[in-house]
Amino acid sequence: MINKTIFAAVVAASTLAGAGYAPAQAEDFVIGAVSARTGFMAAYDAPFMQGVTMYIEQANKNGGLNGKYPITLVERDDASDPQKTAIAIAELLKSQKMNMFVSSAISPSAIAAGTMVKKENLLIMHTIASQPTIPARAGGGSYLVMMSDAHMGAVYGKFATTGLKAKTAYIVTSDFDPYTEYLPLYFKDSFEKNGGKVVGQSTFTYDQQEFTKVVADIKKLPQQPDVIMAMPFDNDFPIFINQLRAAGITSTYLGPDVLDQPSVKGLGKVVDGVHYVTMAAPSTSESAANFVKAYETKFGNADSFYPAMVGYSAMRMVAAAAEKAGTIEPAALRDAFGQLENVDTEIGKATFKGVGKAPNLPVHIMKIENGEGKYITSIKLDPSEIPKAK
Amino acid sequence: MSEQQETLVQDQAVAGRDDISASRAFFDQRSRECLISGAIILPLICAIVAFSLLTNIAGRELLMLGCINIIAAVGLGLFSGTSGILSLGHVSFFGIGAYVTVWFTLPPALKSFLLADMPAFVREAEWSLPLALPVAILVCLVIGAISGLVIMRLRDTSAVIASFGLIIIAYLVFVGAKVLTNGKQSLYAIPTEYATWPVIVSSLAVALGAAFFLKSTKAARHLEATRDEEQASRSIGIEPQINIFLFWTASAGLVGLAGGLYAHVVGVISPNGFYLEKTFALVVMIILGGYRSISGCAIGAIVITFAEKVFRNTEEYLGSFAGTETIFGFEFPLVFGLTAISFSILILIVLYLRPEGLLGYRELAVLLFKGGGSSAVQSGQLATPGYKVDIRRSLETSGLSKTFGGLSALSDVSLRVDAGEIVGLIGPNGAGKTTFINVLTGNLFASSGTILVGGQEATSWSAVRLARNGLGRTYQNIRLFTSLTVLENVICAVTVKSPALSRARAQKRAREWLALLNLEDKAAVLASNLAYGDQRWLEIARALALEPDFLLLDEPAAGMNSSETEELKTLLSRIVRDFGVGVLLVEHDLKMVMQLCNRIYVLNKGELIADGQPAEISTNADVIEAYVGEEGDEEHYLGE
Repeated sequence: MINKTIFAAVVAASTLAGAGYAPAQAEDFVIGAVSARTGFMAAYDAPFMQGVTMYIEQANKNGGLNGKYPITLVERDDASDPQKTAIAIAELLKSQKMNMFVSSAISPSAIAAGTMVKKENLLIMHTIASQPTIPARAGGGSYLVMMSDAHMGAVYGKFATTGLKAKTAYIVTSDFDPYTEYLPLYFKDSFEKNGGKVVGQSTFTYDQQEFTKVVADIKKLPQQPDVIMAMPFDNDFPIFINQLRAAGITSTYLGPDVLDQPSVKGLGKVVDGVHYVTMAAPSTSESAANFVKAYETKFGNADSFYPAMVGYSAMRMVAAAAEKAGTIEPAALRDAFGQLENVDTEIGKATFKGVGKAPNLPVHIMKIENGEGKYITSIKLDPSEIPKAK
Repeated sequence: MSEQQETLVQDQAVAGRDDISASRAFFDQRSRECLISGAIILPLICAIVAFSLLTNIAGRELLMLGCINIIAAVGLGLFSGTSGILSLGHVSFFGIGAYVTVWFTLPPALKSFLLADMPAFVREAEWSLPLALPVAILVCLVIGAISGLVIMRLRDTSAVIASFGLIIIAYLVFVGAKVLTNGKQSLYAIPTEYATWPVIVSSLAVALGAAFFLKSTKAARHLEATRDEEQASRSIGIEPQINIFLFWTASAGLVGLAGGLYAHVVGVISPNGFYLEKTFALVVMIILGGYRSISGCAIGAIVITFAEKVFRNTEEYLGSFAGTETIFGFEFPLVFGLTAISFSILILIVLYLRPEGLLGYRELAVLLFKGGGSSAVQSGQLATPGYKVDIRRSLETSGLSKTFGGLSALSDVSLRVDAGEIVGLIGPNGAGKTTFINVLTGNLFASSGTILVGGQEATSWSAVRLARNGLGRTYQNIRLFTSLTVLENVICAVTVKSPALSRARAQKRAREWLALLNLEDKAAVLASNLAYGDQRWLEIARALALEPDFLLLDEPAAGMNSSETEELKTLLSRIVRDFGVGVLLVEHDLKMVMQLCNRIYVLNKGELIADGQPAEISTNADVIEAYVGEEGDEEHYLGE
């Protein structure tokens, strides 16, 4: 075995181009993927690809996609750098005939990728990207495979007014990414439409690591807001929540789905009562629970099951689209994907038809209690309730 | 007749006897090396690109990026190699070049949301790449000039740190100035169809042409001299700052050009692309190839481009085993990141085995045509160089003192050297002789007292100004421009003295000086490879080529054998007789001083204790005591 590996390495090192890829058979289903295996986005992209790989392994044991088309995954690392994404995609497009594509979730990477594969009529998904601006700008076969920010914001707005009976809210945004910039604004629209009032807004920069100013601004309000919808990621969140609670602000904290992480839940008493949204709640369905078990068996722990479950579910959508199209020809697959209805997946029944470039799915609201994510409720919006992309 | 006119007349006289062919008369050795190197490298790159495209060894993007890497590496190498200051800041210009070009080439529809707050004329612009590139280069030149004003005042570590500061500033601006760059959200959908082979190849030709041209100028030679020995370069009148400024600014323009092209090959630009990783990659390229030569930088960029391809393919191929194969019972791991690690290991290996880089310090042409170069140097008839110092010139100090803190190194030294005489300055070790020369030549400033050069007050003149006004010197510890050839060492001084000389004439003049000092056959040898005695001669040749009125020689006979010392005596007598130079000779060889000098000054503990004719000095009781007290060995010389 080791000899084979060394031999392979030597062969790869001594030839410059295309070494190593067995040319795909005519009816192979080839997925090109350029995502972040290193760099800051790897924490989200890599588990998504683990989910995809799990699906591929299982499908190939049974003859491939829908039992007919053996799946080949051609993968490249873009190191979380949009410039590397573009180069890698250009090279992949030249060297390989592909049936669909997966790009990183980083906005510029995703839009660049979507623009580049459009000419090949490829269906392209962007791992766990949720910015509706991505399919809006990339066009073509660009689809999100999870709730969009608009969707997430609207769900939160509805939950805050109906579930938490909140009247006032404060939002904390960052122009670091459309996700951190717009999600709170979608929330605001929905919250105010449902009768609430956003009483203030602060901004921060990614990796700011200091939130005294934001906390002071909230403290200055005549009354504490009922909820705070804020976008710090797991790098900034621990500092923010600690400073917030230390200042005596007890408003309910509504965080985005990136807080669904062991490193956040494990912060102790200070995070008790923090809410987050997710698409992957193992307690909501048997298939979701089974997936988490299988994932844990394969990778040793279940820390990153959320993106993985989305990746695995996305492959179910692809299979459904191939079934619907009756072919794996790229353009037909792409068109069928947008017409999917009620596809059974680990993250719930997904519908694209009549919804747009992101699926309508149930969204789960979770609350941290004693270091665990406790399921509160699921909300499935009517397509008409999902706001348009800003 | 002015000095300049005199030079011209002499040149014409020399040219009349000149049998060098017309083409050779235009180029000096350095220009020829640059021209030939450029003429080899550009077609070589084109051939590699064409071959790779035809055989499908590498894709279009990779090859274009390779060419861009070459432009950037050559740009960086032009500054870092010539000045010896490793810049970590040039990626800022790469980024600026990229952003500025994209401002003008990005379709207005995209700019309406990516760069919505730009002024209207930028938002509405939809230029082609060849039109936008000059603007980007211009912006980089301007910003290069502004930052160059700082960099030119810094040396060594402080210059490196300052350049590193530049990249930090640039990165934060790229991230923060969203109006100009869209920050971390990047600029995308940049029209990649603009990056065509004609654009890339002509940019490459322009960049290589500019780099080799600049490298062939006297400014490059002067900067290299400063890099090797700044103090010595000042002593022959080379002003270092202007050259550092010039090369920093020019290289900023070249790297900016590379950045502009890069944006249009990749199609997306974000601040992360213009930060530490790119800096590291560029530095690896130039160090691996040999950053002191343009050829080395180009070769380094080629090697790294292909090495990256190999590393990445290996990484991906190994990746295909991940999770499916086992070694020693472990599941084969994912190996993403191998490329970056491999680069780091590669640079460690290269630095260990070949610290000067693959190509070493010299241009490709020198390496390919060893020996051919030196014969070209030696062709042609040589005249005896000459000039005449005005007999009325004098160098005078009065009451010159120098203190270091509380310590008095020189006190109240008054001394005079007239044109056409040899004046000795002797004294036991530590008497202050070298300090005196350093004060006199502007390397140290006097604490009090005055220096008069030809009657002009020159106490506060810089070393450069003194050198340009007739003061030549040599050093006790030889200070040659070690990585330049013997010939180039002398050309440096010739081009300071006669800046209007053509390249070929300047080279010829330098050879004449070498011939005068019997170094003509060693013209093509690197100064560092000279025998010790020859190094002394070369230092004198370099000082003479400045055509000084006064020559300050700090122990020129140190380390010479007796026959060499005899030759030196003959030479000194000859230049005093023929040129009318005034020589101030600091020497331990008292026999030589007694024989050669018209007058002698004796320093002890920073004070003049005697002056007069050799005969008077040899019998002066104070002098004898100073020497006997300090160095009994030399006593018998005084008696002779």
